[in-house]
Amino acid sequence: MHKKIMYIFVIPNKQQMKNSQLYKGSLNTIIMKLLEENGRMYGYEITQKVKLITAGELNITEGALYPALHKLEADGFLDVEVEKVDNRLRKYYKLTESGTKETVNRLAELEEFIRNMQNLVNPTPNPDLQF
Amino acid sequence: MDQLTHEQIIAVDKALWDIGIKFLDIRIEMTDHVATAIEGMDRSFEMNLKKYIFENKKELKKNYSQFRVNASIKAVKFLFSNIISLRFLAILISVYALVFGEYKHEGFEEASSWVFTVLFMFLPLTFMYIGYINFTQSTKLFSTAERLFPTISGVAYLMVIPLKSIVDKMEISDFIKLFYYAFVISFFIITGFTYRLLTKFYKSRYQVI
Repeated sequence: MHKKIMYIFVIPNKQQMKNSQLYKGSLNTIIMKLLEENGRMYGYEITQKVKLITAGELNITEGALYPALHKLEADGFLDVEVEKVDNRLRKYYKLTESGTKETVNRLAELEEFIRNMQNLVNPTPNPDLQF
Repeated sequence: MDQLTHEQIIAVDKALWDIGIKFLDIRIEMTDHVATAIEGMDRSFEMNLKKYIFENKKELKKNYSQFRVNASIKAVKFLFSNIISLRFLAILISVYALVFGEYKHEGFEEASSWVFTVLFMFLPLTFMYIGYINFTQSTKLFSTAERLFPTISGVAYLMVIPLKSIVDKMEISDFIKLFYYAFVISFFIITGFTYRLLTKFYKSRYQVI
């Protein structure tokens, strides 16, 4: 009973719902972009970096981040290095050569997507198309 | 709070095991994640760990179930890459030569029985071995290697079951039947080999002796 009541308080709030809906499709690109900029990173570091860049707006959960990382690794876009750090093993991810190329493509796709969305949401009148 | 001690890291690992995260490779990664998160929190280690596990249990389990699926896919992909390798071809040719030798000396019936004997010795021994490993090293199992046999067992049975009942009675050349037998045996050998390779790879990656 006590457990049930407690669970009610951890139901995703409005902010988390927004995150899961709008950012889901771009998660892989976000990860690849971060790895491109930072060389190699570990899971927790990625979540914190995203939180920092977006000023807390975007919170990547374990349930979303790790499956994405493992999928990218399985697809050959990420390489893994395991090192002993602070009494424990830490798994670092870095882009492979094909991952670096893929990042460029995906970023271009994302930028185009953002541009199109921008045009749709906030269209600027084009004099050539005015009748 | 301070950097976690070795004993506290073991406690994190155990907490993850207790909520059902069994495979060592994902537990290592999650232990680091949880430990780093806890180090950034106030209050005592015990309270932080309880709080973290309570608040993130659902996400951790979701991650684990997705991880198991990915591990199965990875295992099948790895097995497939071994099946299309020259190594498999060499195994297949060797097994075919053995089966063919038996056929030449003793005839088809004997060769067929020989294949069955090999398979019926190989399968229970493999399952006994996996059962033994699972029992004695339950906390040191790696996902992709351990998902290999459960994932392909259905396919394996589909290949073995029709041996006597269907393939033997088919109106096709004995050589094709012998090739099928050789293929089934080679498939099991390469699966065992893949299991060994995967275990070795993960042991070396995660520095497990």
